[in-house]
Amino acid sequence: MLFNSFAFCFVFFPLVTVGYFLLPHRFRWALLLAASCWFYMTFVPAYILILAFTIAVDYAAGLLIEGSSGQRRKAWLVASIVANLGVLAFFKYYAFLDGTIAALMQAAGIAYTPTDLGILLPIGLSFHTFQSLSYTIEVYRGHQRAERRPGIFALYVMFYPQLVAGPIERPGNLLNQLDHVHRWDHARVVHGLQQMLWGFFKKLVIADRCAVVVDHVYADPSGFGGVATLLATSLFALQIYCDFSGYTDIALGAARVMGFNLMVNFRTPYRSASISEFWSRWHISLSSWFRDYVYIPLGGNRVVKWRWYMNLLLVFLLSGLWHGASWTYVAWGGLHGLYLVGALVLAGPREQLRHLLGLHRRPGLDHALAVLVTVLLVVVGWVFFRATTFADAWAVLGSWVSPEGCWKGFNGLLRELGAGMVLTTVLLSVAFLGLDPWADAVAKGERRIARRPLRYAYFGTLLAASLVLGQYGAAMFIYFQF
Amino acid sequence: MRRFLTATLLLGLSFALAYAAAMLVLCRVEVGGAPLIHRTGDYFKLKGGNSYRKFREFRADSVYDVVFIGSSHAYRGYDPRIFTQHGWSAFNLGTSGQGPLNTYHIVRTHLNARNTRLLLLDVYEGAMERDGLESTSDLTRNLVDDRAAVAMALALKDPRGINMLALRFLTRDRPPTFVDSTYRPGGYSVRTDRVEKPLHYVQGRPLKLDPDQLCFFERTLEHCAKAGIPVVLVNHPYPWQSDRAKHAAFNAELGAIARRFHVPYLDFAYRHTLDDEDHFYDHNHLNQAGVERFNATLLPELEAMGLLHRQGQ
Repeated sequence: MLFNSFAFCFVFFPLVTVGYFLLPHRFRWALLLAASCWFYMTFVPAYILILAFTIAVDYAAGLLIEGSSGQRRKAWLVASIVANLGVLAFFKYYAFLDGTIAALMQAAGIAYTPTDLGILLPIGLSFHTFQSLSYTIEVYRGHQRAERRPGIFALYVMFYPQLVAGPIERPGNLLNQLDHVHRWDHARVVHGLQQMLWGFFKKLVIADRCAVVVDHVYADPSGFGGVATLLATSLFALQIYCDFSGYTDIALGAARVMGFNLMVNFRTPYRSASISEFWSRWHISLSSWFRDYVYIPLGGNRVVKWRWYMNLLLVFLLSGLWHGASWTYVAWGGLHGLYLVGALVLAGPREQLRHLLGLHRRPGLDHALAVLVTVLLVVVGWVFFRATTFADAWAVLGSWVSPEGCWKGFNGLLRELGAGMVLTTVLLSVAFLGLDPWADAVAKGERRIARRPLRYAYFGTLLAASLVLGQYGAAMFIYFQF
Repeated sequence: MRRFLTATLLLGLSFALAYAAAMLVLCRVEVGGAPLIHRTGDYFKLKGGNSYRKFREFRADSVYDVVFIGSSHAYRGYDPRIFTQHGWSAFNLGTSGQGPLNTYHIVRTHLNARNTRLLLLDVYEGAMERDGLESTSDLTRNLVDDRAAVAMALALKDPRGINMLALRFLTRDRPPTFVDSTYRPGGYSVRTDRVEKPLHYVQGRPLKLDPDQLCFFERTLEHCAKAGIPVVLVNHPYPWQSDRAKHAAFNAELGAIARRFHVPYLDFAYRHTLDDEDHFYDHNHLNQAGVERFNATLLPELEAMGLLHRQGQ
């Protein structure tokens, strides 16, 4: 069931929320667990068995880890990690590995036919695997007590607002909240709904409109010149942000209505002045997961320089691989790793350049340039993320450096999609970028529109704009595939 | 809770104001001869053309021996003039992409046992695999009857239906923006061109009928049975190169429904002597030469089955 579907907005969400507040606290977990199961099973029912397996393994592992010490304690943690990553590897990476082996064999002149097992990737597998893993690791570290109630632990992994695309919660935040008694709180409920509305606006009006142009160009990038591919890639940068952060806002809002505070996952990432700042504002729950469970255990930056750089590269290559079983995702992750290493290596010369250009005396301009460069680097990275093959990615990047035929396919694009449609999308995107920092703060409840009539006018306009300008048809959220 | 309800009401009011203001601008301001909203949304259809003409020509107080209904297969595949030549009065209410969701509402609001002596419902899997958005957009712009337009827009269960209705009512006074030169009296559209270049016929796609369309298909048959409108289901000829396996799957599903409702079903998909190039103008529409040959086969069959009745009989 998609958040942007009739069934969710007008049946599932209202029924579950009303039911939640009507039930006594001791029964609420059962309602939420049943609702979450139903929510997940509306995609592919059988895959709930995989979730059940993960939950059973980690529930048992949590108890066993807590009840043991020394090598045995470590062994139970390793067993949990192997089981979780094993499931992930089989369902997500089997075809990728088999295909890679086949390509290598072919290159070596050895006949090898990959076996198609016809496996469909269970929706949100990477998300709930990581969420479940964070529990066993936290229990192992002694930061979290093992949960003894299987239903509550199952709800921690399956809590429907963040089940299929995060935020990847930590037990310290979500698991402990499951015991809190949440009463109807008008202000909180209204804030939650406002955040959901902002999420819907981002998904329907910005992301899904941008997708029309992006999908058209990326279906055959070699048929377009630099202008069209640059436009499409810039719109993709906005599409993926609005799609994913829109989902997150709906998730956070839905949880907030019931009284739960989920992790903030985005903080206007396209305002970042460096790649490291970008990663502290983009998909925060994933980057902090990798920081806490991979980067720091590897030694982080408390090692010799080359190890530090290797740690960074490794984390970002893994992050790329987490996103999708394809070498283009690995390249995207690797590129971000290189950006970070490059920023560290070139810190000295960059500082000298700033002084040479006098930017240190003009902090405003300095910051604006840093933001611009960061956005450009991120946009280059998105080419690998969006392209389905390296050939497509090179075609896009090649079109940017080849002034010849830069308008190729552009008139056709306008004719095919409608010049008005493309122009409306671009204008809405520009307006959105200007509005986002303020609107994001309002949606998160960090800023308040003090005057009541203005508040109603703002949210009424958002709702109307979503209805008038939204691209309907229940398009899937991009991150559901991960 | 009272505070929440008040807030919801106020939000509803501010939404209604903002929506009305936005739609007024987008629907009343014209750019290039069409409302601005056509530049901001890709699902709006222009007012005019075949659908506009036929619903203004159709007379609910007339008596038609046969009314054809369905998608473009219907309005491009059944020529009322051929039936008229043989002494049968006929009208074609087929429209672009019309699926059962739309057919049901047209039948309910336009047809009855007095004005329709036989309803020939063209069944085409393509139209039943879609959600009905395209056809609803066309019909909400061009239908005369408000009830049918509102009912089908709401039946879509899609917010775009609301926008279509707003566009309909806000541009009610505007003239049509285009004319379909292929239109002929009686609700028919004629095409005389033929397939010139080799076409690619997609094979092996699974049949995925829209559950809502299937539901409306059954409701249409149910309604006709109750209203006393005789129905015949017809599948018009398909090119020989088209996907036979998919059509067989469709036939199995449709045949079961037809038997359940005791409705005759004539499948001409591959029961014809037409040529893929000479008698079609694209991968699934008949041209006039094809229509003449097909109608010449269909008409005697309907007569022989006793489905056509002279007025007064």
